[in-house]
Amino acid sequence: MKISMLSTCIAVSLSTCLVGCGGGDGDGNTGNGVNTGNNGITQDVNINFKALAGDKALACDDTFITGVNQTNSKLADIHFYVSNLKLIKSDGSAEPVTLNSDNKWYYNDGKGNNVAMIDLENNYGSCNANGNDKDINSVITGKVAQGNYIGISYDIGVPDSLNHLDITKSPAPLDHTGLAWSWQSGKKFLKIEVKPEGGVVYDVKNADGTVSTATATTFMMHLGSTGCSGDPAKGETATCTYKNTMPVKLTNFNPTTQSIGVDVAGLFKNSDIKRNNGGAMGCMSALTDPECPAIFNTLGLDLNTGLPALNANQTLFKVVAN
Amino acid sequence: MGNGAIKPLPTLCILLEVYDKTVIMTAFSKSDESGAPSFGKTLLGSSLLCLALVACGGSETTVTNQSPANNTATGNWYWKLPSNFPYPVEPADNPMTYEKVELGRYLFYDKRLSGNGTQSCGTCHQQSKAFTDGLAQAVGATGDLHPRNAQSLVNVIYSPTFTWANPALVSLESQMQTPMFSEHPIEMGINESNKTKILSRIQADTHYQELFAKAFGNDKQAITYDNIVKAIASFERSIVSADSKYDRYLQGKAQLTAQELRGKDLFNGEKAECFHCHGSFNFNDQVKYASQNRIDTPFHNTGLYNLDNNGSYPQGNGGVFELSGQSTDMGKFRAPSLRNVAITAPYNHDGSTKTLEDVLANYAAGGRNITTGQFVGDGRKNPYKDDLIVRIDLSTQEQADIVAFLRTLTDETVLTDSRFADPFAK
Repeated sequence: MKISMLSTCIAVSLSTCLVGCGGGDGDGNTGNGVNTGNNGITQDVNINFKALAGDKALACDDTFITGVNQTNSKLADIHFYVSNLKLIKSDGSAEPVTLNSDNKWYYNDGKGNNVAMIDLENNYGSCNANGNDKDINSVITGKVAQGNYIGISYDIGVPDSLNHLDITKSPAPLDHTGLAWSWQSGKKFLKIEVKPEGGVVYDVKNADGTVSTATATTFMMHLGSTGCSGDPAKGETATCTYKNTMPVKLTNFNPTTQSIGVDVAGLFKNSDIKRNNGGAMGCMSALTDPECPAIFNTLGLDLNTGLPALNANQTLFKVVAN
Repeated sequence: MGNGAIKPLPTLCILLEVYDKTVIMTAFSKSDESGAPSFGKTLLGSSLLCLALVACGGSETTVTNQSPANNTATGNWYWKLPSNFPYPVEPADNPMTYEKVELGRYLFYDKRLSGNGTQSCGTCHQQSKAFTDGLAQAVGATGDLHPRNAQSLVNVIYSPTFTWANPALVSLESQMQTPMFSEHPIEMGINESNKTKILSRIQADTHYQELFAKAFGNDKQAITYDNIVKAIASFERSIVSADSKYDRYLQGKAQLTAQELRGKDLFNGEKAECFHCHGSFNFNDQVKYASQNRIDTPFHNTGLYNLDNNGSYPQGNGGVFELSGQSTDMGKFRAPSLRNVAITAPYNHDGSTKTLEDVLANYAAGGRNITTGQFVGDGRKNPYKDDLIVRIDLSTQEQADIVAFLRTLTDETVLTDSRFADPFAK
């Protein structure tokens, strides 16, 4: 005869429930991928990105100055995902840019989601310690409805429906291992890393209770969704409390004569990159990382909500002459 | 900061014990710091969600079962489980087959899957140690020290979340990305610069060509990372342990000593309350199986640390807090299965507890008081500590009895079964 013992404890409140918490509808940005207007006639568009230190072009192994203490530094890595790309007309309306999936840098899921990866490091010199390859991609090539455009907007982020796919199931460029954020079941939206001269100093507690310092080589900025939880019944990550998608809007931009500069020096202008006071070396989007608020400020994001900041605009991307 | 502790929530715990001709139902709740149960009192106390299934006595024999009707998997795998084990779930997009499991076994133990060819999954998950490695913290292929202790893969098919403290990792396939591709720390060390080369090592191997064809069909493109992950996950899912001395005792095939029986009763009793977090058929409180209405995924702070008296755990090991940023999640980790616990030392998320006796001493004290060294702090006073972790009046004899019971959870079959063994071992 079957013999069993069943013990069940039921908590009335769900405050300790980790299944399905985090709320949210899980549905990310669904840019309209269909070209509109002008009888479906489209025009080509090429958006060029350049890595900068201030106003100067920045390449791997160049020495540049950044941080609150004006520190000599070198670039270690720079990759980011661009989605929800639109061109803006003088009346303020915006038209989506559609990409062609090329199995390397661009992906169009056929449902209105387009993602491009920009990779501005060629694995040379200071950039060679990160397991990346030599290829770079500094341009987004796509099509937009024919028209006159004066500005551009995009997200640094990955649409929800694509953000949580396993790397081994992700179409390129979402299968890039360096941008996997498997511990939060998503992708890194932005990965910019620099190497300050003298390294990044942090405190270490010794076994005898005294404190000494240690040094890491790299100050890292990784942007991605946090506070994620999964649905074990479905075996997938359902929601992330802090989305951290970074909107960018450049109201005066001409893609034929201008490029979008990515000011790496500016990203860390309010940070002491020679020092890490807590959390990851640099900032990996954790709410309690003391290095994150300053950087989130330059990205125009509110660390505590994962939403665009109410009183800070991003200063990482800026319009520069070709 | 000290007021951030979880508020006690109303909880009703119902213990149903079904004996030969009697059903005994006991309603109890966790009432106060002394740990004494309050029978019949109205509901105070524990904020835990827990589900415990423990079979006691009985004479069921091991039966060969087909997968139940509500398992939508279409693979050819059959489960052989004792009656107190529910059917596990196979994912619809990766149903188990003998061919996938066998292919997965080879890949699991193949060092060529690491960047520098020195490490396989089996390096940190060794069969003889119930798929752990005997180290406090695991070490990656390039020498990076992992912050945490390598966990046992036994019965991992029954886990709804994976790794020590991650509500977002809910499939083995997803979890596998971390050891394969992670950078901080580097584990297997597969990255953009070597991933094509590593894959071609597998593609060029004629034995793998044969195994992949059997598992995934004759498609020339069958050898992909996605299929590698699917095969290894299938092998992991096959590692089921249900033949410990305790399992045989449940089936009437073995006897427990007087000490082991005392330990069992203490384990399942309201004084020690081990079963609250370690009480399912798998001796933990996160289980996923077929025909469940709700899957609970609790995580617990057991008072191991209390740095600077504000409840902090050491940097890099804050538990669920590191994912959620919520202070109430500080120090919360998943209660692991206690199956084979006697051979999976050292213990806890960072391997900082060396012996089972030390583990029991920590629970008896209601936490761990560290008086010297870099992690000084009285974990017994951690404000985020689970409500059920309180000082328990457990004598040294009683602690030893519980340890003796835990030793009965060792399953020699799973430790030696050739189906789970390293095919590359000489």
